[in-house]
Amino acid sequence: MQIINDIIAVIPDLNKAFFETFYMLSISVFLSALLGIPLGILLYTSQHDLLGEKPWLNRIIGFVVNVIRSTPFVILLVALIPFTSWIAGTIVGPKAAVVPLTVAAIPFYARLVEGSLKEINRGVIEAALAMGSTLWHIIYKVLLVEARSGLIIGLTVTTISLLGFSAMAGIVGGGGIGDLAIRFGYYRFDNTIMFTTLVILIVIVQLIQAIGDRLAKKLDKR
Amino acid sequence: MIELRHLTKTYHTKGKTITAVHDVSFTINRGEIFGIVGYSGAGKSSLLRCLNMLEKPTSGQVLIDQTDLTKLSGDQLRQVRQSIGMIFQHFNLMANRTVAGNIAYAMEVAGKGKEEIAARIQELLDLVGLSDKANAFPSELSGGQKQRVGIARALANSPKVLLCDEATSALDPMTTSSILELLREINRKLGLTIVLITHEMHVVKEICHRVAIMANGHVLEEGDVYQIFAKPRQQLTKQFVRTVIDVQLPDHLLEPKAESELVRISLLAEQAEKPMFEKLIRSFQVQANILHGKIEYIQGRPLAVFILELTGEQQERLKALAYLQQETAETEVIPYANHQ
Ligand SMILES: Nc1ncnc2c1ncn2[C@@H]1O[C@H](COP(=O)(O)OP(=O)(O)OP(=O)(O)O)[C@@H](O)[C@H]1O
Ligand SMILES: [Mg+2]
Repeated sequence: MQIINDIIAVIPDLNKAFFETFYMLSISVFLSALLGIPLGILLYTSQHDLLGEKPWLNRIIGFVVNVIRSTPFVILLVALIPFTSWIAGTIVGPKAAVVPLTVAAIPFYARLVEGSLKEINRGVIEAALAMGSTLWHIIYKVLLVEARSGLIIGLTVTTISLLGFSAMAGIVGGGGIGDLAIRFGYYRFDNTIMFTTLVILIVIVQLIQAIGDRLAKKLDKR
Repeated sequence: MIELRHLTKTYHTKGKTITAVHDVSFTINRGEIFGIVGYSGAGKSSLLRCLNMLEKPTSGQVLIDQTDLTKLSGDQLRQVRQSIGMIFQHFNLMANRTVAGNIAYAMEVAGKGKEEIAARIQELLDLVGLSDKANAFPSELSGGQKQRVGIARALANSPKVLLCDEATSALDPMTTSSILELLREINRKLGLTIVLITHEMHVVKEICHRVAIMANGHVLEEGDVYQIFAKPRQQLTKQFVRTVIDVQLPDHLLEPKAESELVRISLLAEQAEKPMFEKLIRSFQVQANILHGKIEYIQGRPLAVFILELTGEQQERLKALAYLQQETAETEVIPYANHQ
C-alpha cells in the first residue's frame, strides 16, 4: 500500500519529468537528423573516389567528429556552457540542455549515417553516374533512398543514447525522467521512485526501438 | 561512330603501376554489335569504362560521333552520358526503388516530365517483356528479369550506344540466350550500337558482328566475327574460337598408326559447297576417314570443322596435305599422343 501511495505522490513529478524528456528529445533528435544526415553524407562522399573525394576535408571533419565523440558528455555539457547561453539564452532547464544534447548527437548520428551509406553497393553509384547523374541527384535520389532503413535504425540508436545522456542533463537542471531517477534513487535512496522511473525508462526505450525497427523493416526492400 | 585513338589506362595503387589498357585504337561502326573478349584481367572492363569516362583514360582519345569525350567538362560529360546506356554483370539496380522507379530514375536525371516518364516506362517494359512487373522490387525478380530492367533503364533516354559489361555472366545458359536475343532485337529494331565485353566466345558467336580479342591490355586481333572464327591468326584467338567449335577425339583414336596422319580442317561456307573430299581421294593415293566433324552457324553462315585420318605413303600424304592447305580455311596436323 505504502508503495502505491509513494508512487501516487510522485505522479506530478513524473508527469513533469516526462514532458521535459519529451521536449529535450524531440528537439535534439530533430536537429541531429537535420544536421547529422548532411554531415554523414559529407563524411561519406569526401572519401568516395566516385563522388569527388576530398581527403583533406574528410580528415578535418572526421577529426572534429571524433573529438566531440570522445569527450564524455558531462564534460561537453560544462564546456559548452558559454555556447549554450548564447544559443538558448539560458544555461539551466530543458531548453539549455537541448544544446549539448544536440551537439553530442550530431557527430554520433553522422557516423551512423556514414556507416549505412557505406553499405550501398558501389555498382549502384556507378550505374547512376553512367546515366549522367549529378552529385546532387545521387545524394537525394540514390544515397538517401538506398540507405533509408539504415538511417532510421541509426536515428533510433541516437534517440536512445540521447535518452541516456538526458539523465545527465540534470546537472544543468535539465530535468526529465532520467534526472528524476538519479535525484530520487541515487541521492535520496528512494528505491520505489527509482524503480518506477527505471521501469518507465525501460518501457520508453523498448517502444522507441520497436517503432524504429518496424519502420526500418517496412522501408527496406532489399 | 566510336573511335578509340591510342587509348591507355594506367592504375597506380600502393606504389604499383598497372597498365590495364595499352595503346588501343579501333573503330566501332554505327549500328553494329561489337564484342571484346579476353580472359579475366585482360583490361576489358577498364576499356569499356573509358568509353563513358567512368574511368578517365590516362592518355589517348575516345571519340563518339566526332566528340572527344576526354575533352568535355563535367556538365557536357553528363549530357553525353545520357545518350550512352550501360548494363552491368550484377545489374546494379536500386533495391529500394521499384522496377518502374529504377527506369524512371534515368529519365528524372535527364530532366523529363512526369507524364512523359510514365508513358515511356510502359513502352520500355513492353519492349523487355516485363509489362506486369512495374511495381515489383528488384529483390522479387530473377536474375534474367533484373537484367531486363537494367536494359530498360539503359534504353530509357533513347541512347545511341549501349555498353554491356559481362551482361550475361551471372545468368544461366537459358536466360543468357534470352537476354542475347533481346539485345539482338534491340540492335535491329532501334539500330542501336552495342559494345559488349565477355569472356565467353559463344556470346560473341551468338550476337556480335565484329570482335576484338584482348590480352594484357592489348588488342591482339580484331575483325569480322565470321573471319575471326574461320581464320584466327593469334594463338589466343584460336583458343577462344575452339571453346565454341572444337572437336575432340577420344583417346584410342589418338594412338599412333603407321602410314597415317590426323588432320584438322576447317571449311568456310563457300568451300563446303565444293566436292573437295572426292577430289582428294581421286587425285592422291590416300584414304581419308572422317573421324569427327561439326558445323556451326555463325551469323547465319556455316563453318565446318572436320578431323580426317589420312592414310597412304608419305609422299602422297604430303601432296594431299598441300591440297587441303589450299582448299580449306585452315589445315593443321594433330600430333598423335606419344605416351610410352
Ligand atoms: N580501380 C582499379 N585500381 C587498380 N587496378 C585496377 C582497377 N581496375 C582494374 N585494375 C587492374 O587492371 C587490370 C585489368 O582489369 P579489368 O577489370 O579491366 O579486367 P577485365 O578484363 O575486365 O577482367 P574481368 O574479366 O575479371 O572482369 C587488372 O590487372 C586489374 O587488377
Ligand atoms: Mg571486367
